[in-house]
Amino acid sequence: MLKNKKLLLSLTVLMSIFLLSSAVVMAQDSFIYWSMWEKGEPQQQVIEQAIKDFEEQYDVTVNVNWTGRDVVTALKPRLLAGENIDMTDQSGEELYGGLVANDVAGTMNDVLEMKVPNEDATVEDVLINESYGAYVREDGSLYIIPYNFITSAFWYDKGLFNDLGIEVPTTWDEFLQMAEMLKENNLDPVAYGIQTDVYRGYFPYQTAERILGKNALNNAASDPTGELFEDPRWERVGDILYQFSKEGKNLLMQGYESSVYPAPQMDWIMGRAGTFYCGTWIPVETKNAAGENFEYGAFKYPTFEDGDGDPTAVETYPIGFNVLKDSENSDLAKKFVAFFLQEKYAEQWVADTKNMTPRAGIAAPAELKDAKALLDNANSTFRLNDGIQADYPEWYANVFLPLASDILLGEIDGAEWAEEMRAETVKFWKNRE
Amino acid sequence: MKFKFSEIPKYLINLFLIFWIGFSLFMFFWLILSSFKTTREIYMGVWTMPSNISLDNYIRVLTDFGLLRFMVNSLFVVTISTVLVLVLSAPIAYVLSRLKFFGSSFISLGFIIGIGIPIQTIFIPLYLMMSGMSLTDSYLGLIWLYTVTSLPFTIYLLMGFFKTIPSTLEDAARIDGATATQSFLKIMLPMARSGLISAGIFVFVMLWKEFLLALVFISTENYKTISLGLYSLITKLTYTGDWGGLFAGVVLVILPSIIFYSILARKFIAGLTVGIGKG
Amino acid sequence: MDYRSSIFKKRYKNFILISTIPVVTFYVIFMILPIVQSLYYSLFKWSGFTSYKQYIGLKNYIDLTGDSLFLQSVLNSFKYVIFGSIIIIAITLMFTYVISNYKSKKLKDLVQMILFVPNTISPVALALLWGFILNTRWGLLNGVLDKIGLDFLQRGWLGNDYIFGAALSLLVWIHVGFFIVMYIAAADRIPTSLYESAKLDGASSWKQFTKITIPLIKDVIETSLVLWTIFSFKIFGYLYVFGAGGAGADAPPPVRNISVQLFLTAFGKRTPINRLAYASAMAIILLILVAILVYVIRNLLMSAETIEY
Repeated sequence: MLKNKKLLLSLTVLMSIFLLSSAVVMAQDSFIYWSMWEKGEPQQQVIEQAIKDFEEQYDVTVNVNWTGRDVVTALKPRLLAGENIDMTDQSGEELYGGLVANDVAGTMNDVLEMKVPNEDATVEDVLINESYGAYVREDGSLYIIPYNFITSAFWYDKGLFNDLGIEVPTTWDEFLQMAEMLKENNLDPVAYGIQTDVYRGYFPYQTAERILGKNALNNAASDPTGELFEDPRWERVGDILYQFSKEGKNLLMQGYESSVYPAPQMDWIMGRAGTFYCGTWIPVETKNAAGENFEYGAFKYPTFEDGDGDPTAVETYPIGFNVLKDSENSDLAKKFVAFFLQEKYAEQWVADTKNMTPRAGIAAPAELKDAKALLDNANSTFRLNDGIQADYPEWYANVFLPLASDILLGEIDGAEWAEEMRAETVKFWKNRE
Repeated sequence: MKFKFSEIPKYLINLFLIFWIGFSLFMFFWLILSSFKTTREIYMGVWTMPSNISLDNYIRVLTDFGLLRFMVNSLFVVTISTVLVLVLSAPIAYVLSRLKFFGSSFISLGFIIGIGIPIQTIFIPLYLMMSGMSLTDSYLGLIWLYTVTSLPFTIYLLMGFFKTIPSTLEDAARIDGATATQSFLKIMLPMARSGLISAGIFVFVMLWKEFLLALVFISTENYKTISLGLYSLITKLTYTGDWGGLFAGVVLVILPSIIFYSILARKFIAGLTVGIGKG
Repeated sequence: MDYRSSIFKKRYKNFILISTIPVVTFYVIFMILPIVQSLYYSLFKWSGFTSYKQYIGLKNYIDLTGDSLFLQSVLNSFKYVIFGSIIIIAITLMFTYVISNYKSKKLKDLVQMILFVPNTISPVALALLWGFILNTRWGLLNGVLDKIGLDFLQRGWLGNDYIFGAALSLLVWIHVGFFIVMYIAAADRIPTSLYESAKLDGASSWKQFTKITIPLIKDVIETSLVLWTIFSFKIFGYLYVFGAGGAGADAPPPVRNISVQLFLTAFGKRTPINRLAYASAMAIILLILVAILVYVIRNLLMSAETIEY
């Protein structure tokens, strides 16, 4: 590696001298990329291959640091110290909550208009709009160009549902019927672990999307008067959540109050529960433990007759690149972003990482076919946690998560939950005046 | 051994100790056993036996990740830091614990408070400082930081040990006209050897496991320490659901340190007990 | 001995200066100065991404008094100090009692060595492992309880009711091994003649331990108490990972001490709370609490008579 660099460097020097003689000064262009992936991960391998191709094709250098998921944390002191880092990647929520909120991320709108190399199309043309649409700010600016695309759903084993003769539910009533049938077959309806934040948050915001619609939770969270939580529909949300709890209709896996990642998903895959709500990464995380005939299926969060939200709506969240605001080599970095969206890399992404690509027209891996269909049939999409985790992270940690725990443990009922949400929100904002 | 009524507490505590050690060993055994299981077998239940003993998990983990490199890095950085810490701490600990001079108790208190400083509090200012000196992403920078952050604890620990050393010999030497350096090197150091050794073990162990500083100050693969390596490994393997590989990775990381420690520990604990009967 | 009035003063002066000044300078620049900087930062509204900060005076400190997660972490830290010190010191003393009585030096070394082993293992690995052991369905502990017929003792160890105790048990398991090495080394320094005369008087081994060993290793017990107090507030890796089930999630609030809460506030992990200045205020509170506690403990213990031998 180092030797290669030296070789490259000396070649560059030689070339520069040569070019100098012809009165053209040219140093090899490069940019610095800090990645959320770790060496050895399939995602890393796909990106690394693309980087190699990019370097060869344009005779440039990409200095990559495979930092891992804590990349934003690692970037922070370096940006503060004035180091130049050109590009990074993370999920939309982490990029927006960390880099965008603190004004160090650069806008990526211009990348949308760039041409994808070897193709007669722009980046905007090849990307599914839903993959980043929710991340366009009111002023029109966009800070992420996705290369990975995630949604969440209820997962189940198609074989199992067939054997038991269970229909995939659409409405809440059908969902409850499904739960009854699973219980009759000695299966817990929903694998669940309340001690892990990601799992805990799903039902409250998914329910809010259905009952009140997109951005309702986000708006209510940011209202210091708490008035938005006085809407009686929040009590309805609370009632539904209460039905999940062991005090309600007891839909969640036995022992969910003490269940921590990875227990819920593993208990589900081992056949101790019928369904599991999670993101599209779940087949990758569970495939090693899946039984031989396990067939991944997915259905969307149930709909409610009295809901005002779009019943077809699903959550989406992108993982993608951001070229930082103060990047010194932003042009080259953005060139790579467009380069990576070529069809061949998107296909490789799907094949090697078992994830969805935001590129239109490329089939999802078999395990994610249902989830992809949900997306294709959705009339609208919403952000992970309705955006509260990124926009109001402390409200999410101090108000949302603790109360989600209370209601899903059945310690308070729907009316109390709605009232607590209001009161705690008022208290939260008052303390920060 | 004949049973004595007055010795009942001893028997009971011994029983508890055996249970404690048994549990620890059993846990380790369970960890090793798990490292041979497939992911599915791990989640079937505690008592599921691996269907066939194969080294698949180990081979997969070893070929994919540069664990050995991380270990060598850690060994290098931690050893040098430990030696540096001891060299710097021993004299000052001696001075602070045995000689009262203007400001000595103030300085002692300063170091004791230093033990309570969480690294998170100071690492942003530290980072700016280190970055100014181009010491991030380097062995030297890490050694530097490890040394500084270990000082308060080591000094405090050594002060405790120096305090327990009786002063008769030192007093005699002083009356014979020995200089401070002489009585420190010839009398106090040998007598504090057990203290120095256990302080050395503790420093080594603390730094071997150190995670936060490495996370912030090291980002290139070449300089990563073993804790960082393990953290990466866990991320990689949990996100691909390879729990069998994860257990194998954990075994690979902890086994060398346990072996290494057992070799050292014999010598060190033997060193500690030399002091018996010499009060 | 007070060297200020001593004729040896001059002889010691150079040694004191040489051994003290470089280390203190080094220490002040790299550890104390940054604290002052942190104190300064705590008066601002600052995310830490850019150098832009807004001066807000003591607002961060006022906000802390209404921050339920922070207050919980303070309470947890005190719980770790109190329950942890009682349990750890009691167990370590009991083990010191039996181990220091072993005739075979080899056995003595071996037992100490095994007890110390958890300290050599990365916190990340141990916390992960402990989570597996305490898992409700396929954890080792519930599995063992079931096997030996004590299944009525099975619990959801990682639920809100038990998770603090679960985290504490991990810390106890590790730190007993840590302190035992210190205790035994101190106990071994006690002259055997003292025990022999006690034996002649017919004192039981327990009596010898309480009357001779404990008073004579008091210094080390005090050291361990002070250290544990500091650890309780400062311990990070174990509690950062424990209950999070791997590298990917935040540790649940019932196990967080100030240190973990501080980190999550300053840098987030999955939740992008980036309030570096606010976290600096937490750090200052943490330092003050530790300083007060250590001061109180030392004064309480130091007031007792020191025994010379």
